[in-house]
Amino acid sequence: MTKLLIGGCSFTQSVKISADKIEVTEGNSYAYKAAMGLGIDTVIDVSMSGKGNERIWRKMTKVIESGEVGKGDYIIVQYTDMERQEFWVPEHKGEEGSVFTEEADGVSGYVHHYHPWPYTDEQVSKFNMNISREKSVDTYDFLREYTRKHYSPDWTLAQWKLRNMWFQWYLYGKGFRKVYFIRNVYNHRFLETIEPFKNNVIDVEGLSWQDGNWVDCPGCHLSVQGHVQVGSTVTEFIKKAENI
Amino acid sequence: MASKLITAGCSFSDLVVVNQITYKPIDVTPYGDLVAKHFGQEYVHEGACSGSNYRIWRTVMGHILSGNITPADTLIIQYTHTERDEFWSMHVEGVEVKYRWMDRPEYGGIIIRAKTNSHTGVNDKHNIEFLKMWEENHLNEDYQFERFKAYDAMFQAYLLHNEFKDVYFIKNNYNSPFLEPAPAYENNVIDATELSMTDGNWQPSDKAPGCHLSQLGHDLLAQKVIAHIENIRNNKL
Repeated sequence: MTKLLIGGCSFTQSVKISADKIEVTEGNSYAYKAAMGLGIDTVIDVSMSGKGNERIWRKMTKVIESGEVGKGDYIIVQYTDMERQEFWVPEHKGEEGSVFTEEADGVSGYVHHYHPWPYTDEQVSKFNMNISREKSVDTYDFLREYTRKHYSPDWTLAQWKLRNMWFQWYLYGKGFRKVYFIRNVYNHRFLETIEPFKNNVIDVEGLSWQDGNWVDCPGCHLSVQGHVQVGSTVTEFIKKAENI
Repeated sequence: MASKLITAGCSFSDLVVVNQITYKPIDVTPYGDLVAKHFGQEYVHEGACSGSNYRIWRTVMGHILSGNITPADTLIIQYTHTERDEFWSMHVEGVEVKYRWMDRPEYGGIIIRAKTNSHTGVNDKHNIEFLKMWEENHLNEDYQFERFKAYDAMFQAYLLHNEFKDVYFIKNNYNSPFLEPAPAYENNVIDATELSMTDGNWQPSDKAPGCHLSQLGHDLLAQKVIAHIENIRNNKL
């Protein structure tokens, strides 16, 4: 029985996004379309809206270490904005329905997924850290300090490069060879692969800017039709790569 | 050209011991340096007081990616408490930094070595406040452990698949509950737990027994590491 493990952000999660809410629509994302096209039995989707690459590595590694997927299975990684960060918080205080809100994460507390929003006070205030000051002064203050004084694009890039490379060698070392990377508007500036995976990048950026685009954030979110198109592209790419 | 030996760890592997009574730093010759001398290798020191596992990975990888350390060299990894972390800060501390709890200016700022109580080891008021907030509301051992497991697996995979064979892990009071070498390295663990609790401990009154080595401790551990490496190289383990 072949499985697909996929990690990403809102681009990949099976959700319908509108201006005021995110609706999870299980089983409708491009991952499921591709699985159908490739004869994959089970999709393990650890992608989630608003979350960062740190979570992608943490969650995917956890699934792999648990033995849920093996070296004959498929892995698809859709990296998101490099700047996204996560911090543990002791209790759930985020705004209801916010994609940045905390996630009960199998640890004693929650993980707050956070986008540093450079850089001015005005922007910080506008962004509001996606957490109500009244609800959580501590977290608000911490994130404000992090944004203004502890976020460095250069440092973040250096960290990302290292961890991305490790993760790919980890997958290779575990025997995974059917490893593919989605190139899109979130990651096209920095996506790099190690040598064994250099031909495994599936470029869907053009697709997501055209018919498949959802209206709110050009290239960021897929419409229902977009998921079908990307699913088809992924299927065809992998079939060709593996002579299926 | 001599091969190199790099030791990466926290204060246990550092060349300075802070006296827990007087808080004065005392220089020692660390075990890594002694082992390197024994094998005629050039020593690369990456032990750091209050350093985290993230610092260990970052510095070792920095040496590897720059070509300073290659698979022909020897790596000694001494993992530390998993809750420790690193944060970049735009507030560069002055020269008078207590206990060296940060790395040199990097990326236009500094990299703070964050751990429990680390706000007492920095001078800048912004850094003090940030570390306090982190420790009080955003530090969680379970979460940090989950992150450690992921990055440790990834780091060891990198070493293995880039053919680093001469890799050793020091087991001690900082890491004994969770140290888990990859199968290829499972014979490469050197247990310093008992040693650091007895003769090698800094001093009986040390607030954290087993966490810091006296010079005698470094000497004894160096002997143990040398014997272990020789046994591995002679296929006796």
